[in-house]
Amino acid sequence: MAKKISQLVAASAAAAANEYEINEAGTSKKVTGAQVATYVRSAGAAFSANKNGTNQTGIAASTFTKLTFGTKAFDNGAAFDNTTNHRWTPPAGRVRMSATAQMSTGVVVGSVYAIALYKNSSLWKSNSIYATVAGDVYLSVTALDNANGTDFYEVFVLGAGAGTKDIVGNANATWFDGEQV
Amino acid sequence: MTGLAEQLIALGFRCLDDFVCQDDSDGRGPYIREWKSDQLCPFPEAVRAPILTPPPSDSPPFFDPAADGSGQ
Repeated sequence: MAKKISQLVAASAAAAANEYEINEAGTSKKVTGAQVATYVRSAGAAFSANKNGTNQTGIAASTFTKLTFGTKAFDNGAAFDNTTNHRWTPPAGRVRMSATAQMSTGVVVGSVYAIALYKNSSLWKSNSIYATVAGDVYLSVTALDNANGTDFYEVFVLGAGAGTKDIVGNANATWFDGEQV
Repeated sequence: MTGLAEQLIALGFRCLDDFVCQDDSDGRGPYIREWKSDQLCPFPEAVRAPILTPPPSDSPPFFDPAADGSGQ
């Protein structure tokens, strides 16, 4: 079945080998490979979110706690909610997500620390470590999925060991990214 | 103040094996998302009903007697 690619900017004339002819509503146009690539990249939903330097403090021990991401570096497709639910609801299709968090307080040697991607409010993918030294732990998780258009994804962390925990707010330490692939 | 999960651990329950505590960072604080232990939960008021999500679109529809043409 033929599919129409719209919103392409037509080149004025076919002047190089890396150009293609398309037909839109009966009008023949020329586009460059670079134009097609740019369009495809921009058409896919993608986002990168972080905490903009604000630590998330007072995380209860042994409790899966949702990470908030109040700042978006970018959000193609406007599918990431950085104000209320802190979740990504991408369009239907294959998507990949990555999240990283640095936990800086309440790290107890021998206790488990985990980061998890939640899908539709349920634990979906996770990664965990046992702290071998006191100090900070660095958690990360990556996952691939086939979203249905209403699926949404969130990031949770869990830290065992007594005492509340803090998540470092630096954008280079704690972030949540996603893209259509 | 000791957190909910820490209180449960102090009573001998094991995190993830006996219970799952969760905080949705919505201001309502931690709650017991899932109680797995065979023993009764000592803090039943902290158990929040599971979040219900709509079934996937490709899942079979629920049986609807009213729509069933077999009578009764």
